[in-house]
Amino acid sequence: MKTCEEYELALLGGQRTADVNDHLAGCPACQAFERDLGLVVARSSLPAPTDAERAALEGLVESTWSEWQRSARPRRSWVGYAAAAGSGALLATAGFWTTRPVREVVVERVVERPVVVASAAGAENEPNLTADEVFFEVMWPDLPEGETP
Amino acid sequence: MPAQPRTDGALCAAFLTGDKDAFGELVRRHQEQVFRLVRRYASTPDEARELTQRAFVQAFEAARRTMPRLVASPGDVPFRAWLLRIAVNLGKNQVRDEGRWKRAPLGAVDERSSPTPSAHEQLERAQAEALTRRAVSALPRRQREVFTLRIDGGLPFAEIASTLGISEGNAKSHFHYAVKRLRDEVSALARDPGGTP
Repeated sequence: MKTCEEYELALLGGQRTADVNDHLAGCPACQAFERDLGLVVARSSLPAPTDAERAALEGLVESTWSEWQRSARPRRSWVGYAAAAGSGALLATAGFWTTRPVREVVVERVVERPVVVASAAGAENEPNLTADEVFFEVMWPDLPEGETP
Repeated sequence: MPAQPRTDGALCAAFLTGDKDAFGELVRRHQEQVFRLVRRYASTPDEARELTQRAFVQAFEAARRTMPRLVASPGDVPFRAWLLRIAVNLGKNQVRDEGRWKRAPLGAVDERSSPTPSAHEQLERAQAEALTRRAVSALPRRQREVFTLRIDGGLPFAEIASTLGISEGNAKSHFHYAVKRLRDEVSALARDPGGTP
């Protein structure tokens, strides 16, 4: 036998089967839920977009493209700074490496190990993730305080 | 035989490798859907447009950052799902950032209304909308996402489920709780319209 909640879920999907109708006829609680559902949906539904709203979408491709280009600029400069910092660090390391005191090493024996081929994805030392894992890991827009995806 | 339209993922991959036309095609394909999702949270058409634009830029940025790390081929990026999720949450942030909806935006009332209703009817409708907006924005995150995608986006539950990465039964369950909660919240807000949600 189905519970009231199951009938309510059926109503959400708009399924008015004979079974649902029979239950509704004798269940005041589900009748009240159906009324509430209609009321909430009616009050929540926005009117159809006006001409002014439709007009607001004109030229959206161009303005979004400009915004994308504009947001790309700081990204590029950030990448530039990071590259410069990386180069500086490399130079400093190289300088230290060439001037460090060298200890003499004597090779006593050689052990041969099998060659390990790194996979293409592993080359960046980052795990492969599914689309959603990647999305939630690195890109959730301005998450409200106290909420986690 | 006409050529098959390119998938969102394929367009996204094409754009990120330099095809600007693919960018335009993706924006045109989804702009109305995104606009419908964010307009609940915007007080003017221009603000809704701004939110729509930001949703696209953030979705492209998400794709740019993540595409190289995907297990599947880059063409499988779920661009539309990300875009819609971003749009719903940008709308919510807009409400949080600007602390609005104490009162209905009167400028928006004039622009949205049909020519026939009286000023009193317009005001009542705008206040009812504002109350509901506050109640919707106060819903728990998942309930709000499901509710907005269903009511504003007009998506079937199966599509809501795939957009949010949950089961269809779970999507219905969140909507169910949202309806019950909204019924209570809207009644409470109607009794105390100046109260904080």
